Amino acid sequence: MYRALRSPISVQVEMTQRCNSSCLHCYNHWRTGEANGWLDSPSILRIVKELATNDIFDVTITGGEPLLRPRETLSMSQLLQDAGINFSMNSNLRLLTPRLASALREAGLRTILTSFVSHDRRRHAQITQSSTSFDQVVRGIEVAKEHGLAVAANMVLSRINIADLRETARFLRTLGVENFCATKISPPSDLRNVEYLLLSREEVRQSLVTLVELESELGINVDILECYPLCLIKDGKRFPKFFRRSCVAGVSACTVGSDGTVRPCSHASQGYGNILHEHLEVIWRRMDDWRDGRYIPSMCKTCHHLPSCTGGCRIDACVHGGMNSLDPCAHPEDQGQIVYPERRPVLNAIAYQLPPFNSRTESFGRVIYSQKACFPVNDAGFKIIDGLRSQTFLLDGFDDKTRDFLQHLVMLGFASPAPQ
Amino acid sequence: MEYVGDQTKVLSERPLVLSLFDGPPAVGSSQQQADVRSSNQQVSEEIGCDNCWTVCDCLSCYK
Repeated sequence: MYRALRSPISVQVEMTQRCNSSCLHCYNHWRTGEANGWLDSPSILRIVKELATNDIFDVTITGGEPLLRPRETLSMSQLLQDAGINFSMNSNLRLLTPRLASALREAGLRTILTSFVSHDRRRHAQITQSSTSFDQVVRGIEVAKEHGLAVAANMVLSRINIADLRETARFLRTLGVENFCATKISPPSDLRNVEYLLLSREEVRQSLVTLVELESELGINVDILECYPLCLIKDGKRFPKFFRRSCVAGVSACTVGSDGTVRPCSHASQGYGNILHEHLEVIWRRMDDWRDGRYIPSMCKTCHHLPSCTGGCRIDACVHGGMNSLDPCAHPEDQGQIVYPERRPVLNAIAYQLPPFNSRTESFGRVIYSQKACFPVNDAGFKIIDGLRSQTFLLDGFDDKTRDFLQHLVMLGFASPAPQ
Repeated sequence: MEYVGDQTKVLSERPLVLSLFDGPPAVGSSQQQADVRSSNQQVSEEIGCDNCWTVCDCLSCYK
């Protein structure tokens, strides 16, 4: 079903299993009681070496809570920066001090994704099961921003806080947060008793409507952090950015746990090998079961939206019996209502340019990686892209085949109009 | 404004943006699989590239 990359494009690294919050919705069900593991210095060195050797483009430092291990998190950041690997951090920011923020920035960190579950102090404490978390997270956001670190916030939506969505976004805006995500709770793969937190399909879809309204009202960027089935989203013209998410577990991404175990995604518990004892590319090849389509629900296998949709979240599907069950938010009967987003306009008469990008070789050609887009091309495509580095070009200046190709780069958002 | 012109006429292979998606998983017999691919092809032709947001070669709508 998927072309096999020689290694992942992006990797999440869990610095520790421990967390100073105990959020009711947390998917990290293996983080319990005796779970005190963390990555020590030799392990960090080994992991970064593996990531660099395998030309990984993008790393997310996460946990547990990474700032419970500040020295190791700083070391990881510095090594990633030295290796030229783009990275960011997921943290609840409760432990961020000015000194640590300054050191992290020095080590190359630029963006942080934090978790913020409600503007309401009582509800925040109820969900994180900590009476001090609200003030600490707010202070952490302020410290991060004071030190030039961009902060995006994700609100995990559950039955407890769904009514707080608007006010929470407005509150975060007052703190200077300009990138706001609201993502439905994912049932943990061990299916512990969280039914009382789960949202209905209608509530999830309404959250998308609210997000789009908030984007307009507050002038912020909104998004979701999980892949929702297209038969839930349906209206791509209204929700174009939510259409772009698909399941990348084992296809272009994986997660390294704090004991070195490599998993297809952060929500999945099954390990495929240990990066501290084996090479990443060897473990990656074992994840073929995530690339051959065996976990795609049978109803989705014949849906012609599958290439864009990918059938939703395979871990969420476990609440329906197994990884190849339907995503709880899927409603295949609505597939006829799916409307695709408008394409970006392509103008032949204006000048375009490409962003700075990296690339790596693959069996089919190359993978191109930039902050704007990441996509595979064949060798002929790469030759064109490589020839256009730092150039300004007009589509009219090329033959038909090349112009078609460049038009696709515009539609992908990779090529963009050059400044006048 | 300076810009580069046609420098790629010599390419023998058509330049393509690819998709990691390489076709739907197999369902049923080989005849049934052929039917699914045929159906996808038909849908692709019906909706045409104008309605297809995904830029890829998965449904052969890139012609």
